[in-house]
Amino acid sequence: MTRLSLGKKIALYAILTIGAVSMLIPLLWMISTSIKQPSEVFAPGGGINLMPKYFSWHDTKVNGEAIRAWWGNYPDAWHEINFFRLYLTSIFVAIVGTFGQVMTSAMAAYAFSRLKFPGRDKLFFAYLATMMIPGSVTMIPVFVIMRTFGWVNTYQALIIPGLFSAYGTFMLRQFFMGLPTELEDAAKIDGSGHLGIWARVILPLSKPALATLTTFTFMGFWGSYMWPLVVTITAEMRTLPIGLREFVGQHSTNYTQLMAGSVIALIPVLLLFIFNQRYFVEGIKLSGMGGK
Amino acid sequence: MEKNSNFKNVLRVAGIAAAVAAVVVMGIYLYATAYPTVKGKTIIRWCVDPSPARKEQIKLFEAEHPDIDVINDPGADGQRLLTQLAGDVPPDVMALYEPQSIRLFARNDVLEDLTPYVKEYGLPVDKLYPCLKPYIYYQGKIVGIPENCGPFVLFYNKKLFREAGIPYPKPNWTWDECLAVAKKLTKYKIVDGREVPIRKGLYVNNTDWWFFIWMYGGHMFSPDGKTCTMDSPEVKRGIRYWADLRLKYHVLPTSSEAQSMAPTGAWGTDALLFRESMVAMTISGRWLSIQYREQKDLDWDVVSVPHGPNRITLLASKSYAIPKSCRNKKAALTFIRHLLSKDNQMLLANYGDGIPTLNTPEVQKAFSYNPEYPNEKNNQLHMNEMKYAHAPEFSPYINSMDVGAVVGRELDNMWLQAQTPDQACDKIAKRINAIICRNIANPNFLN
Amino acid sequence: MSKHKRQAKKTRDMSSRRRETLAALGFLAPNLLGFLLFTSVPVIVSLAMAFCHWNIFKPPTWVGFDNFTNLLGFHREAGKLIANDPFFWQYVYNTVFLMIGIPVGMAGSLIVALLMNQKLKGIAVFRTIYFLPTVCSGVALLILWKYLFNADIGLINKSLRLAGETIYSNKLLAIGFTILCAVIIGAIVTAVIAMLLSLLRWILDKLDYGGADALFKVLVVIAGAAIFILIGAYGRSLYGALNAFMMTPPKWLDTVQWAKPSLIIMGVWGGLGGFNMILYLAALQGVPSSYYEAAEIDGAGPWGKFWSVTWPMISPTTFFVLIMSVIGGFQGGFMTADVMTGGGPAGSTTTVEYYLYQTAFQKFNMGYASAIAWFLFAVIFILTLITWKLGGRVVTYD
Repeated sequence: MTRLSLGKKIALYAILTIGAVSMLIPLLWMISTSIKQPSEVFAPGGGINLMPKYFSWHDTKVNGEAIRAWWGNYPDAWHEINFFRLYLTSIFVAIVGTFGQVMTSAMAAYAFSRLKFPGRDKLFFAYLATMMIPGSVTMIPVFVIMRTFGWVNTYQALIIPGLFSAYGTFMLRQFFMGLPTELEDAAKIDGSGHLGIWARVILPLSKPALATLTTFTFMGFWGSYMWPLVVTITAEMRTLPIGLREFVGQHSTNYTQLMAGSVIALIPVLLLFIFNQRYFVEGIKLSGMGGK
Repeated sequence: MEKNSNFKNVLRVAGIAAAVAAVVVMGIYLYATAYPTVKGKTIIRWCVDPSPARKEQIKLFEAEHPDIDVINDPGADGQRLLTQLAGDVPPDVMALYEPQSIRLFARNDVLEDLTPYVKEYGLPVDKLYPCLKPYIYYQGKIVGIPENCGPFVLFYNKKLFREAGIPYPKPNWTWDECLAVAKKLTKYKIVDGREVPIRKGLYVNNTDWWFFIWMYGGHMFSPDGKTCTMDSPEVKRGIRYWADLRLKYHVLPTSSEAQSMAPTGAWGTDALLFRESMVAMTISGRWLSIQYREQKDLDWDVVSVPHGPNRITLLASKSYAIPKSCRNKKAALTFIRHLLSKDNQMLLANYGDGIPTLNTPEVQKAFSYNPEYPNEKNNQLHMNEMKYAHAPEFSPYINSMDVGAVVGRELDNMWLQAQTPDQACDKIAKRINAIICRNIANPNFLN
Repeated sequence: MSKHKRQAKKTRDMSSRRRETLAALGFLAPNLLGFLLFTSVPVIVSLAMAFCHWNIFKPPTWVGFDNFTNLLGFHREAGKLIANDPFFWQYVYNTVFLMIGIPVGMAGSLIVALLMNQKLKGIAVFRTIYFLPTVCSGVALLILWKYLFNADIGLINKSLRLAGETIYSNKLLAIGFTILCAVIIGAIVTAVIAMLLSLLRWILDKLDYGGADALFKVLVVIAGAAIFILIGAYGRSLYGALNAFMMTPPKWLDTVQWAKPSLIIMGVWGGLGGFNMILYLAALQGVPSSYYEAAEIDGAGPWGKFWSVTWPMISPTTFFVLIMSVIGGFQGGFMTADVMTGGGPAGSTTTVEYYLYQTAFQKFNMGYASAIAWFLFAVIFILTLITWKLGGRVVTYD
């Protein structure tokens, strides 16, 4: 990339800032709602309240009306649903599931992109094809399989069916196909087996793709609602999205606590994104190979 | 340099080890605490919509029956319920909210026939309101036991009535009287040179078409269910009346007006508008008083839904059934028996949910006055309204989802003024009759 | 080479090939096992169910192609051809209409990714901010969008009205604005036509037709001129239409005509900095800077560098994003239909996926729902196959 002139820089910043303001509004609204009183979520004249009217560090009374401290919705939400357990379950399931899925996908993608074997492309297309069937019609058979294994209401059921993803395989395959073959050949000459090439050449070169897939998969597990809802029975087994749904009643929604819970739920995903970010933009070091 | 990178490597390995250890510890903790042991207890799953009252209800039951542990399932999500029933992991007690869905499950042999247990467990089926029959019987067999119910009533904002100098409505009032009041209560203001509503007189949910179908004595289906009679003059008159309320007299908010007055997204629009005094009257069931109670500055009361030549209102209820594949039938029946007890019914009713289904003098007396809410002197009115309450109509030859899709679509076009009410009614009748014909010819469409 | 040696080489080749197959099996094993068990079995079951009547509770009964004829067939009624499933084709149309958002969204994501790839201070913060809509609570997003799209007090209509009043109070300003809009519309239409024509150019190139480039340029110029003349001729109507649009803006989600475009706008905005942008960003890292330098030496400007270096180098990602978006597009629309629009008004935002869900879990008609699913499958499969075959030629794997 060439250096940008000052004028271009200013123009870029201007464009980016305009976009950023619009992208920030949802989060700002979530945060502001989470520190509001339930009565002021929506503006009385119609419309959306962006800022809370009452802001107090302590529980007080204004004109005889009890006012909760601005941070009050957070502990309330935490106690209303069994937040600690839900959070822990979600984190555990997401970490184990993500690790497993990225590993199996990376292995399968290596076979699909770098190895030659009969029926390779046909098998890969079969992988792709299964993604074209909507999940609603396969859910009952998967559930029956779970029951046959005795896995209903277990962590296995939450994690294992999500480990084998055609999406991850496809994504990594696309990335691996684009990698140059020189290093691989050099490793072969050094006597490395396929496992060695995979672990020492392909994976280190694929950090941007792996970081991307890790982020997506984690978010997939983290936000998954329907499958955990179907496959769990007791409260101890449930994940966070199901817990948060308790704030949405049949006739009314507890927006302040829902948003407080949602803000807490957002943190791990955001942290992961920020942490992984440096890998998204880590250039693949091809210079050592003298380009192509 | 070398040392530095060595140190870095050690740090990295240590970090990875710590992370793995943390996950393992987390896993062990979760597994260890995942299944709290309840020795010697029967666990039953109660599949019902979420409400804070459930905890209280379970407490009340478990105090009387220490040998049974009740788990409250989150929501009665259709996909979850069906998948679990198909996978033979049924809930023990499940809530059903519509006569049509009770029929659908019963037809497919999913529901246990409760008739033989009525005597043994003392299920008070004969003491329930007579109009609840569609929530109880399928082909003469008892398949559901309604826990609570609600005739639709009209909630009105007393303060707004006082301010406008309008006398409070009487239970036997008519739609014309209601319209006259609603006109007076509708207010606009000028914003940026445009007239913007700040209050509408009345709110009726777009899907509660029954009031207007029945208003002049019309019906959606013929008695045998084989013909849709939406194109009858009575129904057309009623739907015209509804359309006029919104499009001619503007006392009902359009959907965009409703949102502009309270943009809550998709949920609870009518209750929110009423709470914020954006509508003066709204038609709904008693369960909304849970919310209105919270709003201390809201002065409200209920009155019967206005009537046309035909005095009738809509009935909603929640009925409990036991799946055939249920493993703990005894405990489930004990639980249902408890749900029909006076204590449980009063608990739920006092919480502000629908009214008790038990039609006994004892319960009626207990329910008619609640010292905790001295302002609510309207419980008797709800019970009186049960005389006029009717469950939504359905035909055995068409799925209510299909009915909803057709009626919703054609009424949408009516609200958008793409067609007149008469055209909408004609189209609805034509389309529903076509589907009924198809279903009779090919029963595979029916389940 | 002696016969003996050749034989030895052949066996070595054989054994190395066999070794590779074995290695491949080893690598595939974990994924394949799970795939066979948890994916392929349910998929096969659903295929079987598409030919059955199955209402989940009673054992399925074989009905052959009944589900498909009921879903896709037509019958004659009073001389008119009427679909057996009266609304299904509308839902298909809705789904396809909503997929207009895919190319727009992809282009948007690529542009954002290119911006995010600049070496600017604080760009990491921008990246995080642009990703936020993807991780925010869906409830919050839906509430805000409902407010934005509100016909009376929504921010969009308020700004449109305000802008309209300012512009149309001054005749000169109004005419200037109309001309500006005409130029923008003309440019967009010309660009779309140029894109279609570039496909033609590419086909001609493949056929080794020499004058493709010149023909392309001439055609683009002619098309552009024609469009601008056309817009000029209808200038007065454009003026009126713009005036009406600004002064009485559409009611977005409440009307049949605007509900789908509203949802497209919402989807494109939310996806700008989302998954696709991250994928593009990762792909951009794989473009060696030496390529750009080489292109620069050849005298390519930024535009030329993009088309000659960046675009081909990221084509595997574009290919992936396109296929996944098409798959997702055909299976999409459930979330918005379920909680935002209820599939209305008048069924105009009901997608095939939403209909499938209702059929399966609210009407218990699992056999019929499977037939819908496999119809979707057939459509997506054919489209993917075409993309795959075309992609095999266009996509460059380094």
